[in-house]
Amino acid sequence: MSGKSAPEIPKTLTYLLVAILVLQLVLIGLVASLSSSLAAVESRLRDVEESTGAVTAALRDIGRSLEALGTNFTARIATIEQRLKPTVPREFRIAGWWPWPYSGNPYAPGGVGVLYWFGYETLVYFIPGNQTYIPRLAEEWKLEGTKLTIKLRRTTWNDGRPVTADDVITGIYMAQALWSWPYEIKSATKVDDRTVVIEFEEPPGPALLMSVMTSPFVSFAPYSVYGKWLDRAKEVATLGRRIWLMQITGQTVPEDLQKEYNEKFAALRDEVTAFDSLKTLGIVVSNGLYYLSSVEYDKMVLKLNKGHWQAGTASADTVIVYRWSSNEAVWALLMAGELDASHPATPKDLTDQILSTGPKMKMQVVSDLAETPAVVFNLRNPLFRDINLRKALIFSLDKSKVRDITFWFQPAYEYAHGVLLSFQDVWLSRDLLNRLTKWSYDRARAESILKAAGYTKGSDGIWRTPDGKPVKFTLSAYAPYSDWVLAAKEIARQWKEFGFDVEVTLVPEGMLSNVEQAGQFDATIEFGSAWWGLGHPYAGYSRIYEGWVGTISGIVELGLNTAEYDTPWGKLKPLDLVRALALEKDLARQKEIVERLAYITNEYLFYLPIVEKGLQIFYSESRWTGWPAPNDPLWTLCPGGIERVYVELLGSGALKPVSG
Amino acid sequence: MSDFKYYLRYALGKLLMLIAYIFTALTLVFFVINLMPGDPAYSLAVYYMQTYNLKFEQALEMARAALGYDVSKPVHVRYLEYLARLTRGELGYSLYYRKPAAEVIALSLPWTLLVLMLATILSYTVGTRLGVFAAFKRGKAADSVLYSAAIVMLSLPPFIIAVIVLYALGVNLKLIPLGGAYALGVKPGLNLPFLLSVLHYATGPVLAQALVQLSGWLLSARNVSVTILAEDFVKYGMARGLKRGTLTKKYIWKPARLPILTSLALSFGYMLGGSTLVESVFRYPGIGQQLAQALGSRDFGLAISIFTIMVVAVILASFLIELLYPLLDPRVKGA
Repeated sequence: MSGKSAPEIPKTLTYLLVAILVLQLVLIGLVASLSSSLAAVESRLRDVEESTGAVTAALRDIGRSLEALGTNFTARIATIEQRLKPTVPREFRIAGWWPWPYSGNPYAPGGVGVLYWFGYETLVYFIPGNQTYIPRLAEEWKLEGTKLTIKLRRTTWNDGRPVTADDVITGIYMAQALWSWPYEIKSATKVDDRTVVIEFEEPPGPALLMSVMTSPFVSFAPYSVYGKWLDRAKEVATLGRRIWLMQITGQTVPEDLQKEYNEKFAALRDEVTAFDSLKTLGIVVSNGLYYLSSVEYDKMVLKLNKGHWQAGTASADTVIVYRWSSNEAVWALLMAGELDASHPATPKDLTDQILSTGPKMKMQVVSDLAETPAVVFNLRNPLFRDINLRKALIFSLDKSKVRDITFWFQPAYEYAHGVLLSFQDVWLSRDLLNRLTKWSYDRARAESILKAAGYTKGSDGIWRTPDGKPVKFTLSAYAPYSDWVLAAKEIARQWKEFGFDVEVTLVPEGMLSNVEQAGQFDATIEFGSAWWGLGHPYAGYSRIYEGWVGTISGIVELGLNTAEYDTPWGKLKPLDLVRALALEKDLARQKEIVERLAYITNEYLFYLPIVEKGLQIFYSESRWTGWPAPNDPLWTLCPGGIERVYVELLGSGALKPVSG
Repeated sequence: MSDFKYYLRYALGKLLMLIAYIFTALTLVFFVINLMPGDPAYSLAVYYMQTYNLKFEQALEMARAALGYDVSKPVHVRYLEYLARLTRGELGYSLYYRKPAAEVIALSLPWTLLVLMLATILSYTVGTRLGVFAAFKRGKAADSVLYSAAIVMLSLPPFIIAVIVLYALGVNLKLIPLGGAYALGVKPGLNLPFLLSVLHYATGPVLAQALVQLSGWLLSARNVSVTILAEDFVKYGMARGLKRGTLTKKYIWKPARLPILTSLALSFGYMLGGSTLVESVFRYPGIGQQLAQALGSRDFGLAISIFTIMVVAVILASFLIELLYPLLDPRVKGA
């Protein structure tokens, strides 16, 4: 093969180009495919991501559910554990008294017993120890002139009905109608369901205001129960007030008015006092923290009033009250650990025995707001009109020995100023105390006072008055009050030893008031200054200069309360000071008046106080803790109604059950 | 005269005596209570005075008003009213509770009767047996121990025994409840838990009442038995080799029971009198507590009613025992 032809593309190159082309096409296809796959992958990945989110969320939900389940489970376990634990006591146990048979009617002569403070709210509690108020039923109150406006709390009776202004108004008129008290209230009107306006005859002094604010009489008459008597109560109260106003202004009461009052009053009284709440209603409607659940002769069971404003914080749901039939019974219950608290007057040996039952048994001593024993003289007897004899009597008496056999846990008095010893620092300055005579035991001084006054001692060892008569008198003591009898015997023994011819006479049961009011005694063991109900010195001085001590001693009858006495502030009349104290609102000014009265009372010795009556309160920390510290002013709320302290401690949740 | 006719005459004579006794006793009760010093309103007045910080006069007025006590009625008028009420089968009216006295007494009397009944059965049964036992052991150690213990127990007032029982068996040994009539939570009614609880809670008061009475029974049974043991017919019985049980039952107990039985009514009255303090120690809801409360508050209506019940109960118990006499001892017929 020869000849010359056109140049030829090498086949290899062609194959190569085709291969490249095919490869490119494949590559393009691949890339396209890859791209599409990548998109698909991206899309899938996105799906997966979404799915993962959902899974995560689902897992999170599952987690939460498990967590909730766990929490719930823990709570259930805790509840079961709680159930399996020894029971935490929610029962508070004390001793108390109530009439039997029990009617649950606060207007019946026997009243409602221990339910008085547990079952019925006062407007406020007043704490004498720091002169402050604890608001109770009254959330707010304002006194403007003669008008006292009270805003009531939102709270309910134990039958579920709300406590309203109508209830308080019914309580006020029922008290006026059935107890002739407090007539100083002119009217009580409703502003709205929770606001009451009480209008007084005159701007009320602290004493009257305190009586009205701290007595549960405003809660005694739920309108739903006693409302049916309200109109008649108002009518009787109006008639009674008219008569009272006439009497205090010296007017003669017309016979027909008196007759009308007597008839209407007697009819209402007979009807209301015969009302038996337990028989008629099956319950006793009350608005206190605890209500009557059941009552028998020997025990009363009180339950928490669920609608009470303190129900949420209250630490006990049941209060069990054992009957206080005798101190022996209460001591036995204390020693056996059956009571959480009680306050029987207890001799030293038994006190030691009770306290030795365990370290958790404690004793708190608080003032019972009265001086006793105190010797009250019948100043109508010329013998006791001589202040020198009175001074000799007090100087010749070792009061600590009398203290030892009565209120052995209290200090004996050094002064006779009428301010209770436990409140001395609150009301009297050191300056004043330095000015006062200290009546400490000093027989030599007693003797020199008598001799200087012309008294002589006869050959029989008996002192003679300046006119030669033997100093001979009786010292009376009320027979049922064993501490008074013991005190009288000890005082008489000491005075006999000093040379006074003294005999003790016992006043039979039920006769104390009759004998004393008739002045049938020479000297008598009595309460001296007493601050019951008020926790304020006004009550004590009112008792001495215009009340019971003033009456029986002859201070009122002889005009010794209106006589002028020399004092560092000039000549002063005690009754004027007492009246001024009743109206004085400023605490600093009250203290000034009290100091003046303290001076007259101490220096002129109308009576001889020996010791301040104390309450021994035994309480156990075995089942309840959170008892107030020994110096807590709340303890001063005990006298006249220790249950108020229990209500306050349980209601506020301060007392807590000891956990198992 | 037939035995029946004799018995009828005997019973009639005793019945007339019973009426005379009751009339005299009730008259005495009425006047003693009414002549008691004191005004029912005073104690309530003191309470009002302290609670409401009132002057005494005002408190007294409140108390008189609350009690509705009529001091103006002469005592003889009240006495005639009292007798008239009794003939109608009514007791007095309680001023304090504002209820008929019978209603108040009905709440307390069954509890006292339960305790007295159990205490009487326990003390009589145990005391007389111990007495006969001591008589058989006369001069030996057992007799001396029983005799001395009985003398000591008899000299202690029921109140002291009650306190000892409460503290020894209740507080220290925790064997008996510390007081009350039945346990908290037990539902009163005819059910076993309640009845058992009532018996358990009555243990303290029953023991306190029974221990004193038991000593009395022991001493009188011992003395009577000692005398009878010295009789020829007993010696004859012993010589015949009779067992102590047979001797006691047939030879000693029959003649001994009559003088002992006489004391039964008196013992009932004695226990009724002591129940006031025993019940106060055991917080027991009996009539004694109610009487103390009535006297303390000068609730004359209730006090007289309780005394009436007590006096009539003791006189009736004596009367019933006297009716039993001729049936138990034919010698009475001859007398």
